[in-house]
Amino acid sequence: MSDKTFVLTVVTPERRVFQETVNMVIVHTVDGEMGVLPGHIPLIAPLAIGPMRIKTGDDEHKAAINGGFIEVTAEQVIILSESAEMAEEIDVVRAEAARQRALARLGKKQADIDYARAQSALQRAIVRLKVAGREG
Amino acid sequence: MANTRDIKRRISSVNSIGHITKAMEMVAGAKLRRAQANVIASRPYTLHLAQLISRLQKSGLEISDPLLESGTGPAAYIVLAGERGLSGAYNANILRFAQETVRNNPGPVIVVGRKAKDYFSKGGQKIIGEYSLRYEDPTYVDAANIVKPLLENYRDDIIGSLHLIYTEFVSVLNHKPAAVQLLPITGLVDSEEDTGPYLYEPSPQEVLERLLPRYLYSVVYQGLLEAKASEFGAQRTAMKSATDNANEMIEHLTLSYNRARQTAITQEILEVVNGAQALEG
Repeated sequence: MSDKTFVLTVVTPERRVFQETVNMVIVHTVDGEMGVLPGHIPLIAPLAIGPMRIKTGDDEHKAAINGGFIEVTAEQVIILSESAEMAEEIDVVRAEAARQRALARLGKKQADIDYARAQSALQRAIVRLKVAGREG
Repeated sequence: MANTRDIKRRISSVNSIGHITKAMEMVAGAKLRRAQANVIASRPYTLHLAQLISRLQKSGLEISDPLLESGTGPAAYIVLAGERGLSGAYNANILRFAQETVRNNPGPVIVVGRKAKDYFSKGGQKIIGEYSLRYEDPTYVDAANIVKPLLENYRDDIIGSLHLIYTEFVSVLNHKPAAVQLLPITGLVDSEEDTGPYLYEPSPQEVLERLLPRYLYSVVYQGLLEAKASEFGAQRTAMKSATDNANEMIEHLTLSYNRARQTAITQEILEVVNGAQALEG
């Protein structure tokens, strides 16, 4: 792994979730998976609901990102997300309950707006479970 | 002069009121500290979003959004007030300010908090939205839920501008009612340094369309947090002065109690002495 690094910051409306010097970050943008290495060109892109992988030396951290934006500048990468949790912070029991709830709601199929909401709730729960290491 | 037993009873009742207000003061203090921390923790997110938007606007790229352009229709106001009383003049101040603001430029209101609802429904004001939040810790999702339908209204020209009326948390002892314009979005904080051109994926227009609503949610979220911190601040101050008043009252009552007791003793001695003299005579 190269010794080049950049500062990665993950910010949500509630708090700063993560700030460290890292080697690489892989996120899910709305267009698909994207890896950012040091020296990436400046970029702003919206994020999808998906997992994020952070590589620091030989360590790898994971986080669940619930949409938002990634901003890449010469010195740093900022992730602005409406909510984000590091793998170790995820409440597996709650995520599992949320998954069940969303599945139940999807089974009923009511108004379209409820449907879209239940679908993204399901996706969030699945991503959380995946990041926490319990595939749903 | 009241008799000693009555005074004693009053002292003990004032004393227990003092205990309760003291406890409430301490609870409000603890909540205030947490609310204050929330206010500070939420600032970077809003600031970053504002910077991204202003950078996009300055980039000279071909972008536009109805949320950036002034609309036609009446102004609308989101009014944030408390869910319950016992917080001094907090609710009265914000509601009076809101009433004045609305009178100067009439339009429908969106009320958040039971106190705001009661106030405006009594005044016969047109209410187009009504929210009641859990007492503590408003969430970002709450803010998004309040704003979302209003964005639709704005795009459909049902409302021509949107304002947030809330209590700004300046410091623990200083909170003042404030109104900020949410829509159309103008006057964003500039990013200090010019960071050169960015690549916008998938397109600048799409990034902008996603940024603007989220920026508004976060501004309203910030408003909710500041209003909450102000409310707890006002509550703590109110309970502190109630406690001080109780203590002062106890002092006065103790004085009258001692005086009454002294009078009673003097009376008794007089009676004894008179009785003795009567026997001698």
